[in-house]
Amino acid sequence: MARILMMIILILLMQSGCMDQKIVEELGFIHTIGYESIEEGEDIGKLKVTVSFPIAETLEQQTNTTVVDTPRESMLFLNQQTDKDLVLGQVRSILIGEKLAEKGVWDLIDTFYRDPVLRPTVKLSIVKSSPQQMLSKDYPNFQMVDSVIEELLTKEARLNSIPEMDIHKFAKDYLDDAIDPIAPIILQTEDGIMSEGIGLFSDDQLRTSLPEIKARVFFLLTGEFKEGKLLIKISKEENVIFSFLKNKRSIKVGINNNQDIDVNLSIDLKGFLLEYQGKKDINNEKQMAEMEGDIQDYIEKEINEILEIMKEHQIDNLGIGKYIKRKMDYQTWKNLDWPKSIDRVNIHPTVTVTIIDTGLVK
Amino acid sequence: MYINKNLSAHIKGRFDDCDDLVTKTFPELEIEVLFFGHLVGEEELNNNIVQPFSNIKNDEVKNILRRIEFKQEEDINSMVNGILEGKALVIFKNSLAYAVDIYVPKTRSVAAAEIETVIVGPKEAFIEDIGTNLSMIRRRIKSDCLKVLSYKIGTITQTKMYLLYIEGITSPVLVKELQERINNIDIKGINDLNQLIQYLDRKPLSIFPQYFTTERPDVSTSKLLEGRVICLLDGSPYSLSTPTSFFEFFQSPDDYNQRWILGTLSRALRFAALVITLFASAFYVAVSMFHYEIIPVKLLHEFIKSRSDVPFNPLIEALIIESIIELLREAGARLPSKIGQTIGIVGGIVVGTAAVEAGFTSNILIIVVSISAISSFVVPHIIMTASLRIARFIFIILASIAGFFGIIFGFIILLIHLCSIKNMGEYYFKPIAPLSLKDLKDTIIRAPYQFFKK
Repeated sequence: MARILMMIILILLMQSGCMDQKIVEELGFIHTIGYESIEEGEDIGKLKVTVSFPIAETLEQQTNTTVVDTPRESMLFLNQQTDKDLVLGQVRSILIGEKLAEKGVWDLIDTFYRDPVLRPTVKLSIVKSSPQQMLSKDYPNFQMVDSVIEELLTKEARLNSIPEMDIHKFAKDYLDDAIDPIAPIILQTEDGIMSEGIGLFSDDQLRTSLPEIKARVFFLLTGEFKEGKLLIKISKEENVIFSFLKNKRSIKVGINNNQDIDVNLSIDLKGFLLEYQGKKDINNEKQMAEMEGDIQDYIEKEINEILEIMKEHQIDNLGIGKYIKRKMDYQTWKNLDWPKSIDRVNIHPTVTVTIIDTGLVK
Repeated sequence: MYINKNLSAHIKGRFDDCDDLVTKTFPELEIEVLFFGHLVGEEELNNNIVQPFSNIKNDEVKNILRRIEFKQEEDINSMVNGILEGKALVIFKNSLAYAVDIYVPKTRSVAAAEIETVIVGPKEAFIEDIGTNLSMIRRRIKSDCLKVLSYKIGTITQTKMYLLYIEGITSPVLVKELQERINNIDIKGINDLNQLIQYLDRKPLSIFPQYFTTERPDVSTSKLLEGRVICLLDGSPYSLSTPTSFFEFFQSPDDYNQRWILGTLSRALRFAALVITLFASAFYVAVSMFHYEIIPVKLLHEFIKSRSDVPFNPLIEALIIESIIELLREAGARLPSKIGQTIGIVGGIVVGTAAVEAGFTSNILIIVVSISAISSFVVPHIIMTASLRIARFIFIILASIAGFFGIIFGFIILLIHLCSIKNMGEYYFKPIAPLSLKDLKDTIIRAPYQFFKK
């Protein structure tokens, strides 16, 4: 016992330098950080950093903004503007202005990724306008926009219209040479915010974006979209909401002697009709088979459009490269210079749709 | 020492100034009877002494003295001790002495257990009289294998003590070791078994009780059947059992009397309570002083809001509230039960509501402290509860110094300490360390009885 006491005292004495106290009421918990690049004026080229944190006493959110050269400086300047000690441990989402995203975001992500205080599940999203405006505007319908943004992202990710993108996943995709990262895009509207599909990156630079309907097809291809609803517009008069219960996706890569790469992308959907507007008789098997074909065609068309976009920008956000990489040795893979060679790869999408039930539609 | 002449005067000389010694004489029979009136039963005295010697002739006395209950004593010390133990000493012709055991202690009757209460199962508890306690155990184990060894503890008090074990189940080494330790106790006197166990402790500086005491005869019986040794002490409504395991303090007869699934779940609940009572307040202190990152975002607002009015830092705040709870508990234990209720009201209203409204503490801390206080009462043994309370304060202070690191540090020290305690050759933290999978089914869980068979 005496020895233990000695040990405790000794260890505590040795630790007297390790003062790391952070008493909760003295802290300002940054909830959301926004980054954007300044495009005009005397500060051109610098970073504008906006943070929002809740004031517990009044249940309001406070936003502070500063202009800095590098992301690391920002905390110093932001801390000067408030009585609270700003900390990063409760950051939930990072907003990046579209312009900045086009220039490249790895520097930023890297800063966060290396900070052990930040959880790796911090959500990352692209803001079409300015994050500062988005965070500091007063919205009539909600008090604290930062938590609304977070909840919107979570909900939309659950509905598979945007990806569940956190800094960990972004960093993982960025560092993997066989896939390019993606990020959700959100938009500031007159009296709120809304999600605007997904942004496709090449390395760490935002290249283009997919609207919401295409985004869902995109997630069918990544295999993340396991069950849910798809709105399908066959023609102007015919609209189907197809709810699928099962999505089997498989990617098969074949390489022939001439080093031609063939990729077979197949999607097998099984589900039921939730809603149908049109002239077909849903109780007629033949017409249902026709409808299956229509839905297949529609999805295939969308897939081809997505592939076109990717080929045009020489990016591979689907991760087809991962499957190709497995089929070849490292040197060949290096020589392939993925994803610049994506337009040399033949990708054949096949979609099989089975309607197992016409549901309650009459 | 055998004295032939004037025996009566000799013994009375030993009891000089003991005015409670009663002397009854039958002059025509040359008989003198010495006893303590308060130790003997009136009826027994009447039946064994008064009636036989009434209305008889001189020559019949010898016949009576030959009766079985008249035991001739030759040593003067044993005569004196006999009187002290409630015997009546019959002195014939001032030279021959006979002891008649008419001891009837004036004790309370057997009542329901008050501290270790159960929902299902026998209600009776030990009382202060050792004979009654022994009979309670003998009634439960009708076997000649149940051995009872008798000792006297205390050079002055000469308190009677019994050591019980079952031959064939208990290891003889254990009995011998305990006998040795008991013989080594050198004190003037002892009042309670809970004092005695502290004399037997091998690690007196430990905060944990190293011997299991219970006031329930059914628990003692089951300990005997498990191969443990039981000690009973006169004047103490407790029994001691050894070797003791840390996990015994988390078992209740209810676990065995109810269905196994309920027994297992309530045991799990008690271990959860152990964790809560040890760490809840320390966790609060660590979170509010070091680890703001782990607060759920929905709770964050309320957390800061409740903390922002408090003038003290979280450590002082937690220590104040914990001390108030300890004050309440101590006051509640000392007060007679009729006034005891006031303490509950004062504690509940003053500490609970007013302290928060006055901005003295945060209401989250009040919740944390009350949950940990409630949890401490879930542990079935009051002595273990007290130990955990002390440990809790240590954890709070460690948490304020180094956050979770401090808590883990303290936890490791605690584990090392628990694993190092040995009790009568058995490890205190068995069956976790050293691990014995076979015994786990009656430690962490309470498996169905069919599983206990080998």
